[in-house]
Amino acid sequence: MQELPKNWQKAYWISRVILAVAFLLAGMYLSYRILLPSNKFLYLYSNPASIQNNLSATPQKNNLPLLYATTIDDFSRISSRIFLKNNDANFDPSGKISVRKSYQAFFYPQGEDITVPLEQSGFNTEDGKLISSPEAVYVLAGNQKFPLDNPITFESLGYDWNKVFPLDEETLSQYEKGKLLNIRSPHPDGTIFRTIDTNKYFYISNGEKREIKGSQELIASYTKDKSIISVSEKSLSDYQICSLKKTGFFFISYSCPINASSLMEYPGKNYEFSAETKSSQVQYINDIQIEFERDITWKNIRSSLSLIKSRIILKYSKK
Amino acid sequence: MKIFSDKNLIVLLSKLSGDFLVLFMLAYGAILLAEAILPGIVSNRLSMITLTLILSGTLVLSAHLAKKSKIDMPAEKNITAKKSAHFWMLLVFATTIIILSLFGFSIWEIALTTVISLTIIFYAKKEFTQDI
Repeated sequence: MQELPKNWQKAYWISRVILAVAFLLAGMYLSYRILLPSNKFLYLYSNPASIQNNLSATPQKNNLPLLYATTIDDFSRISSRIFLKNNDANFDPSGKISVRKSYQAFFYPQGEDITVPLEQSGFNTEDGKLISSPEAVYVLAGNQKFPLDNPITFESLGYDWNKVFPLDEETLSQYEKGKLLNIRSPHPDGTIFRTIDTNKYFYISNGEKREIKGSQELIASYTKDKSIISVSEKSLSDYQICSLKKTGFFFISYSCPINASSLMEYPGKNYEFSAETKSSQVQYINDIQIEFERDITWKNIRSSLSLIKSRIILKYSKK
Repeated sequence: MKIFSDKNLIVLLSKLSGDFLVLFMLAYGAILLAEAILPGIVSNRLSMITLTLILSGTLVLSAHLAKKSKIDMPAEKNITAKKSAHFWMLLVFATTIIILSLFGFSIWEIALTTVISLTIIFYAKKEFTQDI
């Protein structure tokens, strides 16, 4: 190879070292992204029907919908950023964002208590049961069978594999096929939630959770042959709140960091975000971006490595 | 500009682009191997199209700079031996990726892929080990 003069050789070696360091840093950054991955979510207020929206929205009276992020992983930090339409100066940044964690269906408003056994309640006795065919696992609700799209969805919904009952094709065909349930789907009607901290039982029906109150026999009439989903009653009132702060220079946004470590202890796959601001402010908001992040700790790295290991075993194990 | 017409600068850039290419190809190979072991482990976080474009761009740039700097190819005595070593390294890499990607396929698909791969390897070896 053509030789360089001595002074140029020095420049070449310095450049080589810089190149090697740059590759090393890039490798470290990639490892960080693999071992401590973040999850990003978006909701466009200006276009609620956009396919880019990966936050589920439930409309509220104050124009600001409740937003649900779905993730099965644990995260230490949540950062929310609000971007305005045309950097609008009329936006009032005094608002707050609050977040709590559980299952979306457990956040439903509480309805009347149930005090009669299932047979006398008027509910469909099969609702909430898990059945299977050789091809799929279904949840029964309203004479329909709702197939679950994969085992991750099954487990993220908190279901128990021991409560899945295989049915023959003839019995299965009696149920109309409902829409596919994915990881973002809330639990269907007939689901039973049990609070691990207060030992209460709730029945999901028509967008409400209703507490089952009565004797053990009465409760057993609802829970028999069903997968009971564990939740925490404390999680309903444990809101983590942050205040909006202006950030950015050219592209102004309002950010709001939340420490989510305390939410890790609660069962559930859904984080419910609500904005506490005047309803008139929604007209200025273009979108909200939410990022879930992990702290760099050995515990998090070990858990990530263990997840990678189990995915490799799952891929190469005999089917 | 005068600085870009400097022969030494072009030689320096040519050498650096070669170094970058080697490092990038090693990283790209490692990423491909990781993807073969667990699909999505890298591509879920990093665009493989972007990486491929960077690799292609570097190849073109490197070739252009080498031509411009008129770097003489060394008259290596044992170039055939070197090519043979490169061939075996590439063979190990390709075989690993092919084997990993065959998991889950039926026996007939595996047999067909193996026969095609062996044929390609046979002709590749002939090309690689041929004297210039």
